[in-house]
Amino acid sequence: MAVLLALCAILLGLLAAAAATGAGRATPLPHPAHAPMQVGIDAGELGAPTWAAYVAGIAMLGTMWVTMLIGFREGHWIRRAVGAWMVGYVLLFVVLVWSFDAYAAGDATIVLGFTAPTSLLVYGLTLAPWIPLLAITWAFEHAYFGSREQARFDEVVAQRREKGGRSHNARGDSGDDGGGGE
Amino acid sequence: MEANRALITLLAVIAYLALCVGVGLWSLRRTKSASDFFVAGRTLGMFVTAFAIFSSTMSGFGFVGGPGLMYSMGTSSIWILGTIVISNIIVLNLVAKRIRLVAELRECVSLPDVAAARYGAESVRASVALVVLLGVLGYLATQILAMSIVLQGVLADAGVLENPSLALCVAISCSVLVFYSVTGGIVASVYTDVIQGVIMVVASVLVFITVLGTFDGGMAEISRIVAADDRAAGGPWGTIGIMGALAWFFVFGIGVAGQPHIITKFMMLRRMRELRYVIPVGVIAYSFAALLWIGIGFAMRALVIGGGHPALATPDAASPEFLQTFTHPLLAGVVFAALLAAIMSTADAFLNIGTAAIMHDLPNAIRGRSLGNELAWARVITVLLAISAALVALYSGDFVALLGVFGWGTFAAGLVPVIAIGLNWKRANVLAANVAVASSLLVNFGLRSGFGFGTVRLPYGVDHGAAALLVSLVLFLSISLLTKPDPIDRDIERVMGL
Repeated sequence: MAVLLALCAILLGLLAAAAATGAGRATPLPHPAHAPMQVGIDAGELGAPTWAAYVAGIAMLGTMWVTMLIGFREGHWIRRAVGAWMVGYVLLFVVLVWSFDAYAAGDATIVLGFTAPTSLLVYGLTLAPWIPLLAITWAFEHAYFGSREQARFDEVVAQRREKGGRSHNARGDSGDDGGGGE
Repeated sequence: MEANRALITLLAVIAYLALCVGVGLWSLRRTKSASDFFVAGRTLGMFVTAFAIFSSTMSGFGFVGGPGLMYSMGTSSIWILGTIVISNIIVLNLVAKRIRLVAELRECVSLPDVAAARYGAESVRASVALVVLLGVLGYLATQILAMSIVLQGVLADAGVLENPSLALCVAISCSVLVFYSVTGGIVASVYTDVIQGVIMVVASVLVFITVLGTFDGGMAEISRIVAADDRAAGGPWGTIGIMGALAWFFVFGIGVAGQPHIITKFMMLRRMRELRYVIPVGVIAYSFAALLWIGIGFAMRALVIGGGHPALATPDAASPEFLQTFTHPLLAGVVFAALLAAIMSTADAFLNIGTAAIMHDLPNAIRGRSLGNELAWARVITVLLAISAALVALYSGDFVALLGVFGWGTFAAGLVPVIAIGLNWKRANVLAANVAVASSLLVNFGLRSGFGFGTVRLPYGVDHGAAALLVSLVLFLSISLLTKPDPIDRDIERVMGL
C-alpha cells in the first residue's frame, strides 16, 4: 500500500505543481465552422508530449498494476505473470506517446480504421488487458478462489451460525467472537 | 416504411415498456423478503449477473453522451472506453470476491452493510450511506430527465400528442420504472437488465454496420476526414489533450471499483465459482455496445465536416440525428428502445440502492436497527424516492446536471478507498474511512461548484473526480499507515485472508 500511496502522491503532486505554475491552461476551442464541435488544444497545432505526461501515464498505470495484484493468492505464478504483462503494457503506452510525435509531424497513416497512434490506443491499450483477464479466467481456481477457499469460507460461515450470529444488520456483535481482531 | 418511421419507433418503445411491466408482474411472486428485494436472495446465475452489471454500467450516457463526446471532442472519450477490460480486472480482484463473501457471511443487503461489517463501526455505515444517497439522487434525477426527454421526442415525432410536456413524460416513464421496481425489486431490475442488455448489444452491432456503410472506406475514411479537419481530433488524445485523456483513463479505470450500482451486483451471485465467467461475459457485451459510441459519434463528426449533414445544435443530438437520418426505420425503433433500456437499467439500479440506504442503512446507523416490515417499507420508499428524484429532475435547473456529473467521481473517490481497498487491507481503519468519505464530498463538490463561485478548472482539463479520487486515496492510505489499526471481527478477518 505504500507503493500505491507513493504513486497517488506523485500524481497529486504533478497536478498541484501545474496549478501552482499556471501550466495546462489551454483549452479546446470551438470549431470555426461547426460549433459546438471543438478543435484541439493550441488550435490544432499539436505540442509535443512533455515529461510530465510520461510520468503521469506511468504512475497511473502503476496504480492500476498495484490494484490488479491485490486479489491474487500470495506467491502464485499469476502475480509474476501480471507483473511481466504490466511491463509490456507500460512499454505499449510509451510507444503510443512516441508514435504521436510522428503523427503530429504530419504522418497520415491509417491502421485498421484509425490514425496510427489512435490504433495503438484502440487495439493495443484497450484490448491488451484481455491477456491477463483470460489468464485469470483460466487459472481462477488456483489463483483466485478454488475449492480450498470455498471449504475455508464454509467453515467460517458454519462457525458463525453455530454461535447464533445470523445478524441481518451486518453487526459483528451478535455472533462469532465479536471484535476479536488483532 | 420510411413514411412510418416515427410510428415504428413509438411502437418499439411501447413494446419495450410493456415488456418491463410484464417482468415486474413476473417478479412479484419471486420477491418475498427484503433480501429478495435488495439482493435477489443471492440467487443470480453467471449470465444474469454479467448482463445486469453491463446494463447498469452502460446507462443513457453510453448511447447519447458518449457519441456526443466523440462528436465534439474527437477521440478523447476512447480513453473512457479504453478502460473496459482493465477496469473490470480491477473490480474482479479488488471487490468482487470480498464483497460476495462478506455479503453471504453477514447476510448484507447493501453496500453500507458491507462497510459496517468490515469496519465494525456504524459511523462508516452512515458515511457510506450518505455518499450513496447523494450520488443516487443526482444519478437518478439525470436518468429520469434523460428518459423523459427521449420519450418526449418519440411522442412528438409520432404526432401522438402535440407538444407533450416534460412533466407528462416524466410521469409516464417514472410510472413504468416505479411499477416494476416496486413490484419486483432487484429481481425485476436484473431481469429487465438482461433484456435491456441483449437489446443494447444487438442494436449496437447493427448500428455499427450501418456506420461502416455510410462512408466508402468505412472507419478509415471517417478517420481521414476527421484528422484532415483537425489533427488533434483524429489523434490519440482528441481535443482534450494528453493529460485530460489520461485523467479519464485513471478515474474510469480505478473508479469503477467504487460504483455501488455495479459492485452490489456481485452480492447477488448464487455461487462463487460462477464469478469466473461474469467479468469476461460482461466485458464482451460492453465492447459490442462501445461500437455504437465510437461509430455514431465519429461518423457524425465526419458527416458534418464533409457537408453530409448540417451542424448539430448540441453534441448530444449526434445519436438521435444519426438514427433518424441514416438507419433503417426498424433499426431506429430498436435503438430508441435500447436507449430507453440503457437509461432505465441504470435508473432502476440506483432506485434500489437508494431505497436500501434510506430504509435500511440510515436507520441502522442512527438507531441501531432497521425499520420493521422491511419489504413493505422498501416498496413505499422506492415510490417516494422516485417522486423526489423526478421533482429534482423537473425543478432543480442546472443543479441536476451538477449532481449527475458529481455522482461518478464521488462514488469513485468515496468508495474506492473505503470499500475496494478497505476490504483487502487489514490496516485500514475507521478514521481513515470517514476522512476519505468526507474529503470525496468536499473536494468533488467544492471543485465543481466552486463553493458558489463557479466551477474550478483544473490544469490540462483534468476531471474533478480524478483529483477527488487522488486526494481521498492519499488521505485514506496515509492516515491508515500513520494511526493504529482498529480490531477486526475474527470472521471478517478470516474472509479477508481468503
